[in-house]
Amino acid sequence: MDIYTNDQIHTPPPLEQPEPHRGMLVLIFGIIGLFTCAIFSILAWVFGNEDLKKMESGRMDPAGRDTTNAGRILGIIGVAMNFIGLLAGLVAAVFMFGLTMADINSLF
Amino acid sequence: MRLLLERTSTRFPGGKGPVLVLSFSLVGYVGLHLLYESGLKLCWFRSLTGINCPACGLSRAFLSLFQGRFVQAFFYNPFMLLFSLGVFLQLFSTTVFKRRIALEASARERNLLLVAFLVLFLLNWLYLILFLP
Repeated sequence: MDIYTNDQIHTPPPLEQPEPHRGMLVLIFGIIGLFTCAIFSILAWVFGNEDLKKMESGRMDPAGRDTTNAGRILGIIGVAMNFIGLLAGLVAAVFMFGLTMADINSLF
Repeated sequence: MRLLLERTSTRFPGGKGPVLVLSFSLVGYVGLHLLYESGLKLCWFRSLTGINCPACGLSRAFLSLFQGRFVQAFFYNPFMLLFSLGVFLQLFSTTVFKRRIALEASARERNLLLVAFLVLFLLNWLYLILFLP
């Protein structure tokens, strides 16, 4: 009869706990980004994409799927608004630059 | 709670879209700053409400940083400057080296960190409203 010591008895590894979700963080970043700075919107978008992938593969607690998704969508909206503002600023700058050049040309 | 340096399986764990948009936006902002000699006023929050937004002073902080005036850069917007530098560092290391700093923490610890973040964010905003011209 074999005798096993405590060290030799094989115990199955504990089941891996899924990572806790950070839906509230994504949502807060999405809201802040919508009203202030684009960097928060980008972060909400990045974290949202990443966390939704983890939830689909079972590596993250899926309880926060809705808040994560809401934050991600707010992030995308914030980025789009900032991007449109930026484009408008660039168009206005080019337009004003053209007007200035036209004024200079009319002098000669 | 601990910080880990972990290897990522892809260069864009959060998707390519946000990184591309961020890159285009940065180029656009720098272009606008160069085009407007008298200074750029893009903050719609300040235009509407008359008070500084939580990110006001960040452009000036980065300009000061590039000119080597680190202390002045810090006082323009302390929290957001450090936060933005952390974000850029993380995005850069993930995209270029496929490595990133990850936080291993329980749900309770994450909630505490979130509360600390919000308190610092609000204190920083109060500082900007009171002291930033």
